[in-house]
Amino acid sequence: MAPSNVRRLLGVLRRGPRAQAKEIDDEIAFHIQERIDALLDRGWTPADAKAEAIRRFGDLATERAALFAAAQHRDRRLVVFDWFDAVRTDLRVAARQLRRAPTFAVGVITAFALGVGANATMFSVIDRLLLRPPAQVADPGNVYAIHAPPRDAISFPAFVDLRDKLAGAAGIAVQTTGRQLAIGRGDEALMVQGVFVDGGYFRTLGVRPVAGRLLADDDATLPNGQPVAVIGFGLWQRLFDGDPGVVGRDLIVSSTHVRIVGVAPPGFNGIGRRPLDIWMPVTLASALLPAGPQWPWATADNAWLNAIARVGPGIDPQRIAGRATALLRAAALERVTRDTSISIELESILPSRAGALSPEAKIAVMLGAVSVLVLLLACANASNLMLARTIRRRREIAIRLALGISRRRLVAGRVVDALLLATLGGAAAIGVAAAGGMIMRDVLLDGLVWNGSLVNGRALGFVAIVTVAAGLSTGLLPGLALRRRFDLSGAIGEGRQSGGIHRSRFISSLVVTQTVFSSVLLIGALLFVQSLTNVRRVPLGMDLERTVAVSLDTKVLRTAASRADALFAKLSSAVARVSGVVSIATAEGTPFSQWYLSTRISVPGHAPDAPEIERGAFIRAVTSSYFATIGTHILQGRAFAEADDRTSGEQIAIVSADMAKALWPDVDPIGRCLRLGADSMPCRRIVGVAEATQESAIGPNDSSSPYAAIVYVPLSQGRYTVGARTLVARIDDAGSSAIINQIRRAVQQVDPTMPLADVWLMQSRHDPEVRPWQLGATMFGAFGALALVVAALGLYSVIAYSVAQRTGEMGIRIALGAHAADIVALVGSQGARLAGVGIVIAVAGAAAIAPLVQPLLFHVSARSPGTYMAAGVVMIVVAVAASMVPAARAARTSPMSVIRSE
Amino acid sequence: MRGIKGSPGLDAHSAGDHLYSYCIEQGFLVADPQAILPGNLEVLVLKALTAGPMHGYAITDWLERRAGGNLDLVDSALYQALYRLEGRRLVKPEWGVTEKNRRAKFYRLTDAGRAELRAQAARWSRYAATIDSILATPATS
Repeated sequence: MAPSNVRRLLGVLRRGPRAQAKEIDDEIAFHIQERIDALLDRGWTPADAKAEAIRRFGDLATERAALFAAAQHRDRRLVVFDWFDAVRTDLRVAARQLRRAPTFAVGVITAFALGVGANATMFSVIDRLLLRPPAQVADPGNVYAIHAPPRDAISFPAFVDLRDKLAGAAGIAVQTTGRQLAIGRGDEALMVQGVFVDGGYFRTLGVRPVAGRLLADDDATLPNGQPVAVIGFGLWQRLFDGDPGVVGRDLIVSSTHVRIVGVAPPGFNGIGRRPLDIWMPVTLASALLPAGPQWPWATADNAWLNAIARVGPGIDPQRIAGRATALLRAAALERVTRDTSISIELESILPSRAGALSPEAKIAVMLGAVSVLVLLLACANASNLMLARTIRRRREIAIRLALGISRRRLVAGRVVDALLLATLGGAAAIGVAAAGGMIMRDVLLDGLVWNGSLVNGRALGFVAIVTVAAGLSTGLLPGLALRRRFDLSGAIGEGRQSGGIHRSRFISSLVVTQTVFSSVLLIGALLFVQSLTNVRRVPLGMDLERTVAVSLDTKVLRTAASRADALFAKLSSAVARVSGVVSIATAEGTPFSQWYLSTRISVPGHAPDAPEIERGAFIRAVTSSYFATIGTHILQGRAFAEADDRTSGEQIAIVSADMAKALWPDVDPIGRCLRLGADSMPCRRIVGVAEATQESAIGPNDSSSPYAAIVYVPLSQGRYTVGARTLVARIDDAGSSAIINQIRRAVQQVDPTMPLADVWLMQSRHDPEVRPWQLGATMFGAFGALALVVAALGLYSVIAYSVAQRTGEMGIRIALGAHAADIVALVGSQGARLAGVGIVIAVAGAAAIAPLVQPLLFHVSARSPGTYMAAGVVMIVVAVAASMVPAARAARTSPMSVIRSE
Repeated sequence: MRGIKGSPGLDAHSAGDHLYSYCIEQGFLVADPQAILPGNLEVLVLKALTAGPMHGYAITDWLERRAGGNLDLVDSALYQALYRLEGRRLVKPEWGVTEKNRRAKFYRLTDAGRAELRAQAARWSRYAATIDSILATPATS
């Protein structure tokens, strides 16, 4: 910037209104005086000349005010001009400097891009998981999910009671949980996710159709309603290409004909986050569900409907919950059902107000915090590098200051510098956010609804804001450090020590900050990796990687008993012939399939309201080869033999280990008996105890898992729930997709007109359970590694700078007889010291926030000293390694050159 | 009318008399002066400054001489024009000292100002030539 511009700018900036007025007055006075002189020269009298000059100027009062206004306008324009000039110059200078030091630029830009991009990704994820309400629901703030702990479902009569008699509710609706249903037949069949809803469901949620109409009360009138369906927008696009003529068309769902009456709006998935494809009336459920048309779905004993309530405006949901509880308890007493102790809770469907965060949401929040840490790390690093550069150029800065540049201009220059870098980083960050979003959506959060594009407007806005904030803070930080203690004369002179000590303390604290963040991230990574390892090591009780299940369409199976048996016999022999299949079994109520069959139990000697009796058990009817096929070991007693598989034989059972421990903690369960269902049922003799199986989401306290209590019975002694019957096959090559395809072909060939059979490796249904830990371990690991690299770079630059400052001292030490090893140790210990301070702070911080992280971990304490120590060791090693290069350089200092340069 | 060398004259209040008396100063009489079209004052000031840096009165004097009484120059309007030019960075002010040892604010033409002067002068020539050519065409065509 040319000095005259600087002066003018300073002058302009310093001109207050009083100075401005004086300047104008001076100018006017001069003008009038000149004119007086000119008139005097022509012979006018002084008095006349003065009057004439004043008159010629114009009405002084008004003109003066007008000139004052004009001058202010002018000054405003000049300030704007100068500001633009300054920014343009700064940008040019900044760009030139970047081109001259490309590694610095690339380093800072990459750090920014990763930091901001990661934050944008996590923002998108958190936005979708936590902030956005379920799509297309009108006024979602007043809609609540009804829970009846310990289960969420209520019975149909209970629903009717609530709908008709609950005061204060603007609408009650019900929806089942999503079921896999087959659409179409044979090879063209498609598996979709469907739910059954009551007639008032769409009206209560306030949804509007995109084509046709939505389900209405008439569609669900008892006893059978109408065979109609509403399809989802996604399904409409996929299957019918968005053809509006789909309304009125016939569709085969689970071998039943239904008529499509309308299409739901895009993004609508009820009140949950899992995608839904088709909605049908509850009256149709019995036709499509495995239990069959005889299943008493409308009785008070069957709790299978999840209720939703729309609360009237201004009404407290807790009062509604209280009223509902009273209402249902009274009804239960009247009907003599079990629900007399029912207790209703209302939970908002808005994810931000929901009672508990889902595990994915919790992980997302954690990752959000991690991204913020990484961003801070990136900013700290960038500040560090910029500050170092500023200090290297302190002579030039001192000269500029002496020439009159204001400190504000200097800081502004730094800020423009940082903003330029941040903007470039922000642009790159958009790419990072898109990639991150893709990874999140496809790999880590697979199965959850992801509406809209990868990077939407809100994410872009977020990127912009964060970029500007990062740039400003990075630019201002060195500027602030500069302003406070800058010794002009010392800097212009040759003095190397001027400001050196103050500077290096500031830089050191920045590096310590980086070390703190890196250490915290390292600790987090180690904790999550340990959790993941522990999760993977949990004994599942089944060999999931080697077990393939074959599920058929339920309608097909709802045939007479003998035909189902014959069909499965054909399937068994067909699958057994596939090479790679080692053994076959049939089971009803297979793990990870759709259908878990439950039963009441009663055990002689146990009170009916004891907890282990009251919670009932899951029943699994299996053929004798089941345990060997699926890999569940028999711990005591024996497995079923082929001879046991007769209806007329002795009624026997095998219980799972957890159940045995709960029912008979001190005695041998073999030989004991238990009843399944009503008291009139025979008391089955226990012949064996099977390994406990892990079949639900792995939680920190797995003994409370509801699926631990399983009773195995021989297949022919089961309840004959044919619709839940599955074939299981053991293969010798774990996870082989070739064998799975062959099994699929073999199954279809048994009956080509049969709708699609679902052939799946059991491991594939278990993987989602492990996902949260996988997510945590991967992300923390990646971020931890990144943070480590950044911290190492920061340490390196600090040590290098400090060594450069101390060449004199090094030279003297060497001259006095210090060995290279001593110098290296000296420098290395400096690095270790810096890292050590960071580690101590990090350990304290991590221990402090440990309770927040603990629920996300599995079988590892958030304060485990081993982990902390490991992280500390890694950090120190990295710090020492980073100091090695400057240390080597310091050890090579020649005392002679140092003395010569003094 | 104010006369030469101190003789009492009419009290001049109106703008017309104002210029009339000025013209007596210069020694010749002209008919009523014309107001300057908006925007033209600035280009005239720019032209004045091509001769070198001048303070406000010098510019006024220069213009009054060249205009020969045909233009109605108001002093304060000139300063407003100068401030506008300064705001647009077409002139640059410097405080200096006159031959009479008085402190004055001199204005200097900038490169941008020179370019602007050239552009405006060219536009004016084209404009004037066009008007002239239209006015000069015979009534019959």
